[in-house]
Amino acid sequence: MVSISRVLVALATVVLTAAPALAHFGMVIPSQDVVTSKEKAKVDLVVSFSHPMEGKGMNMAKPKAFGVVDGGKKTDLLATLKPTKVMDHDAWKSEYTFKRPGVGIFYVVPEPYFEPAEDKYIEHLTKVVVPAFGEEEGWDEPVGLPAEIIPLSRPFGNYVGNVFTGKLLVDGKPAAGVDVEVEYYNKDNAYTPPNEYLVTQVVKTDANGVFTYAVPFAGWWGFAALTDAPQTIEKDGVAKKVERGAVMWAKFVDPKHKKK
Amino acid sequence: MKYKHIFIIALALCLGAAAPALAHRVNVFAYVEGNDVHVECSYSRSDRVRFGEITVKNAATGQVYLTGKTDDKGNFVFPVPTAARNEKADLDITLKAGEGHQNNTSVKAEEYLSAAPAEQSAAPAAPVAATATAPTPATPAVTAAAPAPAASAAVVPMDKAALQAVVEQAVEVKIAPIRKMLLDQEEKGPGLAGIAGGIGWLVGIAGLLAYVRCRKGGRGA
Repeated sequence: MVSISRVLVALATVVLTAAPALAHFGMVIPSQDVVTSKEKAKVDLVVSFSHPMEGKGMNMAKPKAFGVVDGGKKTDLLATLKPTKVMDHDAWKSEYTFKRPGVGIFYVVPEPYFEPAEDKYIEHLTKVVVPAFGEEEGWDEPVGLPAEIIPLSRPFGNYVGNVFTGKLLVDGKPAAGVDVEVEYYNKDNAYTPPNEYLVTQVVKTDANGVFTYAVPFAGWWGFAALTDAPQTIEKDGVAKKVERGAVMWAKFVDPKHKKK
Repeated sequence: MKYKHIFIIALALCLGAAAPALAHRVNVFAYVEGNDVHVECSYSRSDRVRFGEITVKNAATGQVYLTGKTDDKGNFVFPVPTAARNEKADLDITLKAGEGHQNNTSVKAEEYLSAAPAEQSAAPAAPVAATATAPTPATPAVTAAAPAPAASAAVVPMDKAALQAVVEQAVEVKIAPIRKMLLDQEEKGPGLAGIAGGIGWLVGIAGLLAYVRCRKGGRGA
């Protein structure tokens, strides 16, 4: 019976080559990290759910909530979202024009995404902070999400090599001992990780819920602090766990050099 | 003399404390509303530039259209200069907030040309604690707040609000430099007298300590 052994071999092959679970990241990436001129005050925002280092996308349903907090004032931007494609998958885009000096904290609350590979739902509450026209007060204000990274490093105007420090709040309280996954938005596959351990890096929060990461090269970096939500979601009559991630994106840049 | 270096450290500390902190950036942002340009000057949302000096120039030629001072909220409002409107000139707005704090911004001609001109109503714009003075006596002075009453030979009775605005404006012109002087006084670090006094104290305390030690150590010291 050739066929049985063949089937076994085939099965083994499939199992062994199953891709390792990649880190998922909620993403909200602005077209500019800071706004400095009135002529370029329009920021395009792209919202997606992806594997940023490998450039693999997933289809994202329309988010539950999307908005901006500036100076303690919340503006709902959900109605501005339009469908787009990111890494060949369904994603969302919007634009926001800064009319006055301010600090916009953009936030996304997605619909929970069912990940069969992990047999659980994933919801990443994602933020990015864009300052405008010289203002920088208020970058550390919480939006008030159930799980949220409060930056302790100003989350814009950072050079490569700077340390990024943040505090994880879960239901408004510091959360200790939580894994924070770190990934680079590897646009156009500019970089190749030497091995699988270098796709996603991990740091943990300390007793005060604080984590630290030193950024090695320029671009957008995402920090996803992963906790389990207290509630489950029922799927086909079975209760499934919900991974709740607090995600923050920040850009780190190289200085400009004088042309010789 | 072991107290000598204590003295020097104390002196250094005093001098160090007198140095002003110049760490923060100053922001200047301008936008057009109707016929007026609004300028906002701040170190941050909650820390405004009070009585900062504003110069409005033709960005191309450097010709000064007007100068003025921000109010205590860091705001300065001026109507688009007629000369600028005629020349369709971009405006360069420079803020000097003292002690090396300077920044500038621009208002492009299309910004004010595309803005709907405000109705020329009799009601003056809310008076701002900002006075704009034309740079040369050759051109008539422009006031950034309530427009001056029409200079006609006939005496036009002004309504109370307009009169009040004009009076407040005039008082503000006189009082602003005094207010600035007071403010400067407040912001100064310890003066020479303060430093000398501080050193006196330190020397005195050191002397006391030395005296006490002498007595404790007996005469054989």
